[in-house]
Amino acid sequence: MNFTAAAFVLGFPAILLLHWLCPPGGRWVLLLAASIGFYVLGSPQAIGLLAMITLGTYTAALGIERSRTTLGKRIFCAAALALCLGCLGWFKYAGLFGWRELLSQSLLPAGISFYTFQTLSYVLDVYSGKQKAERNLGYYALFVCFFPQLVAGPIERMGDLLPQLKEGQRIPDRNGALLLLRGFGKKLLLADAMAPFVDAVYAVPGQATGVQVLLATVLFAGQIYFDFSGYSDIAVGTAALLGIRLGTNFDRPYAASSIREFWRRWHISLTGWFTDYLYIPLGGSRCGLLRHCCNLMIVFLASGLWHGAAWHFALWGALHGCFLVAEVLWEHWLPRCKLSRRAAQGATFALVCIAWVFFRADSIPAAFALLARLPQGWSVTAVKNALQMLGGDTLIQILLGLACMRWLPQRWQGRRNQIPALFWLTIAVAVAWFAGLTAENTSAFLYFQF
Amino acid sequence: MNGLLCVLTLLCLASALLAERSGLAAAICMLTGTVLVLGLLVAGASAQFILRAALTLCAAALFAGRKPS
Repeated sequence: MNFTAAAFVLGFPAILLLHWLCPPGGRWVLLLAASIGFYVLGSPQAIGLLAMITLGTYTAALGIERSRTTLGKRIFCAAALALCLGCLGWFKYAGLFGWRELLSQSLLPAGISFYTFQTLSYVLDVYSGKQKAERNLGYYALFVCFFPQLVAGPIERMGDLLPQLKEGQRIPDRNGALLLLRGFGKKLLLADAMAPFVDAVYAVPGQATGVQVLLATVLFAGQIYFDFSGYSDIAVGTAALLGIRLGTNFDRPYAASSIREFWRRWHISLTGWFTDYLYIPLGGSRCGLLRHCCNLMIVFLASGLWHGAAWHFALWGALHGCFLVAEVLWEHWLPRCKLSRRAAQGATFALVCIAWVFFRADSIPAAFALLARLPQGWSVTAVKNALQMLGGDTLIQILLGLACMRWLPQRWQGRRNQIPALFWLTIAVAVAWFAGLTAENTSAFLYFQF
Repeated sequence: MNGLLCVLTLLCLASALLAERSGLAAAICMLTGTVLVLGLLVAGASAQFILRAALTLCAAALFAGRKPS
């Protein structure tokens, strides 16, 4: 669901009103219809695939539960894995191995990486006995395609989301409106303001000055955080207004003082998924040092490839794996040698930013070309040129936006100044949204491509 | 017209800063601000200008009432 699209901004208030007017027993039907409607509006060609994966995993989970033999359970589980990973592999990774001509890019189904992981976690939980299979296909379909989190997460677990969807008697959380405003603010006022400078520098990586590379790297770190955490805030806020609590996806990741801590704060639902369904089954950290390091590398290579079907994403994941392995080895061999918290935060941010270059660049050579420009062209004139390229107006908007997001409370506190502040933030967001809609180049959420 | 908009801006900013202390100031902030936006629209201000004006007022109101950390 593209939350900045007119269909959502105009359609959601109507759905919210109908939802609370509807008898509790029928609310899930309305939410299911709205979820399918929004998905068809945004990605009509992919509804068949979504239906096939929903039906396939629903049947497999029932099959696992009804099988009396271990072999039978394994066959159903393997079939569900083959269906989900096969579809993900075919639609997302065909281009990685030169099969792009077999597949039109326009057919890439929206949110496939997210809903395949969500359905996989359900099947694996039923297989391991942690969850019972859902018998009502309607409830299960709503769990898979619940519109606030269908396209870009958070990746929810069956045990957390389904009981809330089934329960018609819900209480709306009014703080959801604050989260919505915060999310739209992050996306429209900050991420979209940072994007043009980053795009311009990455378009010609061989010609940028060191100042431009540094500024673009830091701005991209900001852009991807505000873009994706903004999306997550809107998703969690939308669900909260419907009385449903979704998991937190971000917790101030750039305040982390180690790469391990960064991954506990960044895209929390995906990190949790990889931890539970890949890292722990591989042996986690409860094995020898070498095996532990191998497990970390496997998980982060998989995480890199999950983000995109290109080798520069794999290298980004591998870099994070290497950073984590280095941390593990440091702790093993030099347990008493520790940096101060501030120094560790600075070092972590620098490492994360270096890795982001490989994430954002169009290819691995382009990333190296950009990094090679970092030590070059440092002068007062270069700083002036870089700031001129960013634009004084944009810089003011970013600083003001950062101040607003920093001081905006997480929850409604009933303070008098909040009413005019929220009124003004709403106007700023509305103006930015309208200006974006009327502009020729509106930017989609970055994580939609995954 | 410009002089009037300047007076409105100052009044709006001052009431935003006082909004935490007084409900009346909060009301004046929103009222003058609404007139200000309409005035800016009539005067032909760009979307970017209105956006930055709104962000300034939001930041001022939030800053004035933020909890000491």
